[in-house]
Amino acid sequence: MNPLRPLRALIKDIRPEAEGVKTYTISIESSFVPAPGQFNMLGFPGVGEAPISLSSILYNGCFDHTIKSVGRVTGFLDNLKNGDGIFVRGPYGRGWPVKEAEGMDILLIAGGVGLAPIRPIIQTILSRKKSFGSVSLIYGARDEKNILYTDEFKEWEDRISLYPTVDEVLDKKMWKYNVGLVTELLDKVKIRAERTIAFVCGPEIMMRFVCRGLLMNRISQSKIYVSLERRMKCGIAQCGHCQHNGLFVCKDGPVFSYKEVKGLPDGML
Amino acid sequence: MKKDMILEKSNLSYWLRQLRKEMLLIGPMHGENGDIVLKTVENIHEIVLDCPALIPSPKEFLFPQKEEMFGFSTEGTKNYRNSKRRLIFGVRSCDVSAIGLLDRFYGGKFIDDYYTARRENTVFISVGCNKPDPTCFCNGLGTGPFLSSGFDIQFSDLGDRYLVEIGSEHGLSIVKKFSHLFSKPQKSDYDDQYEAILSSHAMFEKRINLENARQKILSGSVEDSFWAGVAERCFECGGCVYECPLCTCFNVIDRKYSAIEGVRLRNWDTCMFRGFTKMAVNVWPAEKKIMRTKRWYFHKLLYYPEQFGRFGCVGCGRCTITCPGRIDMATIAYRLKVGNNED
Repeated sequence: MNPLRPLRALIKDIRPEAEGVKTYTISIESSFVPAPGQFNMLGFPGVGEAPISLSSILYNGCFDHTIKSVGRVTGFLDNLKNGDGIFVRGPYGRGWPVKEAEGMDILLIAGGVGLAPIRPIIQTILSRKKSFGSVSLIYGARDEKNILYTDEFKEWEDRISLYPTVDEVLDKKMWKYNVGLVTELLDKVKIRAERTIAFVCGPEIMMRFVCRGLLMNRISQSKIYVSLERRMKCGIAQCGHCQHNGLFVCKDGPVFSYKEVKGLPDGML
Repeated sequence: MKKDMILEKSNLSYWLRQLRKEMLLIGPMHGENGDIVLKTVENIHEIVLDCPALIPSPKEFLFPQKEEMFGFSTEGTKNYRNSKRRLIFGVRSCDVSAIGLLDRFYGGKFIDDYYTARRENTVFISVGCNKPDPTCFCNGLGTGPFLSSGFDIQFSDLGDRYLVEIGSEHGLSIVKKFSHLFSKPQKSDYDDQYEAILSSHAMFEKRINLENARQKILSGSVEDSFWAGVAERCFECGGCVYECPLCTCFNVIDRKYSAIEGVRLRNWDTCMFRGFTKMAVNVWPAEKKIMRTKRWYFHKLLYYPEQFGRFGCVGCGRCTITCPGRIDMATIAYRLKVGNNED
C-alpha cells in the first residue's frame, strides 16, 4: 500500500470548542488503531495536508481531531460540515509512553490547543482508573474563551485533579479557577518526584519553561515527555521537513522524552 | 552474487541495441549546449564512452525533480503507475554507492512506492573511473573509483575490452540472454583491472577525510562563528542539494484541474530554503541561515552515520563544482581540519 495516498473518511460530527477551534469526529472504513499521542496527516485534495494529533482514543469506530484554524489546510477544514469527506493518512509517530506510566503518578501539563493530544491520555486514564497513581492536569489558555473541553471537565474531575488557568480573565463571574502561567501552578500540585511521569504539550516556549520547572521539582529528564510540532509533508520520515537534528519528529516523535530533545539547536527546549 | 565476464568493445553497441528493444536506454550524451548529461539514447554510437568522471547524477531517474503521485477527486484518489523498464548506462561508482543508500532510505519501515517501482524497473551499468576529476574524493570514502559490490553491473575499461562484473539478479537478467557476446575473463584481465584501479587512485587530487570532520564536530570544538562564516557565504540557491545524489527532501503540492479533480505532486525541496521549516502562525524552527547551513552538513556528517552507518556523502564532488560560495562538502571538511574559515 502506498503510504502517501490518503483515504477518504467521513466527518460525523463537528463541535465548536473555543475561538477558531473545533472538534471533528471522523469515521474511516479501514482498520485504524491509533495510540494516544499519535497524529494523522489530514487534508483535502487540492488544498494539502497538515499533521494533526488525534484528540481522542478510538470510540464506536470513530476518532476526534481538535483543530485550530490557523493556516491554509486548517482554514479549509474550518469550512467543512457534517457528512463532508476528509482525507486521512495515519496514524503516525510514537505516542505517549502509556506502559511506562502505569502505576505512576501522572502530571499532565497543556497549553492552548496543546490539550488536544493530551485528551486521549485522559480518556485512557478514565477507562483504566486503577492502572495509574494520582493524576493531575495543569492546563493554561489565553482566556476562558480559549479553554477546550469545558463540558468534559466534570467527568474528568472525578478521577483527575484539575488545575485550569488563564492568562487573563474576561468575565470574573464565569471563571472559578486560577489566573496566571502554568508554571506558577507547579507549586500547587503535590509532586512525588520519584514516582511521577510528566506529559507536556503546548507552544514550545511554554514547554521550555515547564520542563525547567519540572526539573526544579526533581522530576528526571527521562520522565518528562513533550509532544513537538514541526512542518511535515509526508509523515513517514522521508520529506525531511520535520528533521530535528538527528531525529524525525514524525517518526521518532512527536512525543519525545525531554532528555532526547533538550537543548537541540533548532528547537527551544 | 558475483559473476565476471569479458565484453569486447566492438560488441557493446550490438548488445545495447538488442537491449534497447526491451527497455528504454539512457546514457551519457552531449546535451544541447555541449555538456554531457544522462538522457535517452537515440543513436547508440553517440553515447559518450570516454566522458569525464563527473556528469549529472542519475538521482532524477529514481526520484524525479517533479513527479505526479496520484490523481484525486473530491471522492477519492487513483494511483499513477510507472512501469517502463530502463537501462541506465555509464553511471559512476559514487552514484551506485548513493543509490545503495537511497534503497535503504526509501525501503525502510515505510516503503516509498514511487522510488521502489522505478528502482525495480531500472538496471544500472556503472563504469569504474580510470581518470577521476580534480573534484572527486570518493577514494577517501570507499564509494569509488571502482566498487567491489553493490552494483548491478560494473564495467572496467581495459582498453579494447570491458571487464564486466555482475553484482545483482537485475544485472544478470540483461546478460544471460546474450552470453554469446561475452567470454570468460583470464588472469591477465584481472591484472589489467588492478592496474587501472591503482593508477586511478594515484590520480586523485583530493584527500578528504570526512571522519576527521565528524570527530571534530562531535568534540564540540567547532564554534558557531565557524558556521556563521559558512552561512555568510551561502547564496541559498539550493544547488548543492539538487546536485547531491543523496539529498532526498521533497515538498508536496496539489494542482487542481477543475473544481473537483487534480493531481498531487511532489518535487525536490531544499533545507537551505528559508521557508523549509515554517509553520502556520510564524512558528519557524530554522529560520536563521546559520541553522539551515549547519543542518545540511550535520545531516550528512553526523545523522547519516547515526542512521545508516555511512556518511550522507559519496565524494562525487558535484557540490564543489556547483557551489558559488565555495562552501561545498570537500572545502568545509578541509576547513574543519585546518580550523579556519579563511580563503
